[in-house]
Amino acid sequence: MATAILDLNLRTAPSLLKIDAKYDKAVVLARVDGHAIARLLVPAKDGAITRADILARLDESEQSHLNHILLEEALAIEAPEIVRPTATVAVCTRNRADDLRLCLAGILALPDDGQEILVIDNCPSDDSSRRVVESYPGVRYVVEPRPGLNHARNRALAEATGEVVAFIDDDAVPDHGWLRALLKNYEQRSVACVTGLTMPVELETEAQEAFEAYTTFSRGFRRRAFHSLNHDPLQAGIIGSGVNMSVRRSATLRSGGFDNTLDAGTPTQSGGDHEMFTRLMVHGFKIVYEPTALNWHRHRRSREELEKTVYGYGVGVYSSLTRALIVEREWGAVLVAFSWFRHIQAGRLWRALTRGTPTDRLILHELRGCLHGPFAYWASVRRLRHTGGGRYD
Amino acid sequence: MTEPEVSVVIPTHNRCASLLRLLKALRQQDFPADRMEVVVAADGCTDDTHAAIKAFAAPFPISDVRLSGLGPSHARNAGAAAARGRILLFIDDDIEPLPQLVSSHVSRHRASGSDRFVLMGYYPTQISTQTGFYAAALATWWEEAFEAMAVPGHRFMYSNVFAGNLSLPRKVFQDLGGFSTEFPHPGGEDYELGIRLAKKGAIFGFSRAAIGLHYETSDIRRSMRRKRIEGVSDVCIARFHPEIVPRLRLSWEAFPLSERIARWAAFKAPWVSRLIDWSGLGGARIAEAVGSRRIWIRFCFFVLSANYWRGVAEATNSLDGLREIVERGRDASEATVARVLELQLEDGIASAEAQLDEVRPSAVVVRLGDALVARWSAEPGAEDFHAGHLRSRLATHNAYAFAVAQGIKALRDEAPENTVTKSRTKAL
Repeated sequence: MATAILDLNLRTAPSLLKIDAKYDKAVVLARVDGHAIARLLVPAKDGAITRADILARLDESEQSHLNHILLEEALAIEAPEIVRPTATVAVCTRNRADDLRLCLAGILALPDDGQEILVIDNCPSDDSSRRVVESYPGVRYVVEPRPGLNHARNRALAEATGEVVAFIDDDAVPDHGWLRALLKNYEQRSVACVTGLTMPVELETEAQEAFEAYTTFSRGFRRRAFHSLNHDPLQAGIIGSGVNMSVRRSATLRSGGFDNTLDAGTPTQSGGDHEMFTRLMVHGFKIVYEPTALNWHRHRRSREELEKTVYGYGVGVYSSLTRALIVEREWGAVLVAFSWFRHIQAGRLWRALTRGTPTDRLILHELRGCLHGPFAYWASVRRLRHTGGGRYD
Repeated sequence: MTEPEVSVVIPTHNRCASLLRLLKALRQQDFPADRMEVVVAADGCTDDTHAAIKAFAAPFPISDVRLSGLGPSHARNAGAAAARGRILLFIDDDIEPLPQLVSSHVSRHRASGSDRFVLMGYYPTQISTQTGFYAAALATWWEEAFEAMAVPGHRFMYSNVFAGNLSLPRKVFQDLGGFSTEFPHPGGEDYELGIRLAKKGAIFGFSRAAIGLHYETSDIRRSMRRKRIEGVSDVCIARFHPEIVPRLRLSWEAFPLSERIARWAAFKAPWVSRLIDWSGLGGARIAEAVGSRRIWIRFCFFVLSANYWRGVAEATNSLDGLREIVERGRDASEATVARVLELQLEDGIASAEAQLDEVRPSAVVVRLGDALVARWSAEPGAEDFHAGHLRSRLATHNAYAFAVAQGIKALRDEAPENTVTKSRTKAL
């Protein structure tokens, strides 16, 4: 059965919420005014969810977070003044005009702090995306003819005028405070990248629920800072994802732009974002995971797309690790692969072989992808060499 | 001519190119040039520094104070003596200020409403493209030092005072007699000034907007030397201000084994200490080659620790000397009487804040009715409390959260009575 998504301000939420009969449970994003503090799974009773039930499900740390917010309010503590950098919001898109329209509507609804809005259309097969952008005055439109998401991202870095480039996927929509939450972390010069929390915008189909269960974009509600001295740079998955990330342009260009051999549009299919996280950390920069930088993503609806996506993640991770081994001579990549298998994949594989539900069996697609990874990397490098392009431009 | 509002004092020694970069950046400041002046205290410069200063076309007055190689403390003091501005702004010559640095310092002073406000500016290490562990570790050390100061309600310590990007009223600096010139090697004078500033009741602040880029050119060997100097400086500080001793590393007893070895070697077997240097550096190099950051850090800590204790041994000459200093310190800190202020929150936060500003206590007890909510104890070398500390510290104190939470008519109560029919997913 499908899951409802509720975005609730605990202050104003009514005591009883009725939800549509087709949902048997709800994922509740609990906020205190604008501030998101928890994500709770609440079963519905007789087609309704009670506020008391929601509150009861807050665990200790969420409670104390809630109390802390109320306390700061009671003490009338002024928010400190933040020095914010200039920003460009960049959407890399390809043949998804309807999603793009919703994404742009969300971006234009953000508070106007003078940010630039940029759409990079990657290798489009028609002009539908261009027509969507034209209907939104003030949005820049650029075509990047070389196929590949990282090519598009590098183009965004080249075309942007802001100090910070905030990326959002074309099938995602930003929350009202998304950009400001990202930008406030750039006060520290050593921060080169800030990632955010991504919630599913809907969980209507089984494939979407399976995606959310198997490989959620959420990294929790606690702000975390990652740098090479407290975190293994190769373990980049936990930091966040390209669906909700921002980079400081100067730092990124100094470390080399996005690696054109990786991510969607190339044989490696994914991993271009995580490789950038790794490289920034290796160069001594800090990456912050900012849970208040919230956006909403529509997961792929069909089973086939889901399997393809999970397969693509497997390919991407192993392609990245292969790249780390070959290009950076990072032997730790081998350890990461082993560790990932031992701690996560092995358990899932066991469940797939013994229990065998469709969600369980996703691991098989992922592992297939992993095996394909090194070859995909090799194919991607050859393809890039063939087109005569550079790795980072 | 009226006195300038701010005097930028730059101690420098044979770093002409760096100095020029700094001067050019001062030319780009958004603070009006007719209200500032620059005083360069050129200490024993044998390169083109003097010629470059003379040739430098600036919209603000620049003066050039010559010294014969006496060290940065003398240089800063001499620069301050030649300055006429109301506010002294010390900037090191390896820093490149961003355009809003000077104006940020000045506006914070204006906003402080105090005649003894001390502002620390932000000067993060420029991360070059080198990917070495040392560069990352150094940048991280600085960034964490600044991050600690940026926490709202932070109680500033003498160890937060860094002279590389610092401003304070000239009168306060003169009344205190400037930086100490008694240290045998340059290093530690900013902490020592911090102690005296805290004793004088200064109010400290930190501003990220007052930002300069710090072009640190350092390596592990320079860090080792600095650590050794830190050992010597800590002994000096202990002699000048015995009550600080419990805060200094040289007085701590509960060590890991490596620290105890380092201390023993420094006093009893200097050749072992040098062996630690040699083997530790070798081990660190290997660790970096195989990519193990954790092991690399361990080796570095060991080597730096050995150097620190060599400095302490150099300055105290014997373990007995050290013991004497530590005991004297313990006596002095026990003899220090804390000025305690008792606050009753039922009288309102505004009243509590007013009391803090008036009394500037070194220790505070906060009550809400009969409940004890917070107890902030006296700390040698820390600034006295003021109004700006109250709310932020209360917000992070669990006891208060508990007390207030009981009173907060919050989300636990019944909500608005209506029910709502919603079959909503996030509106798309």
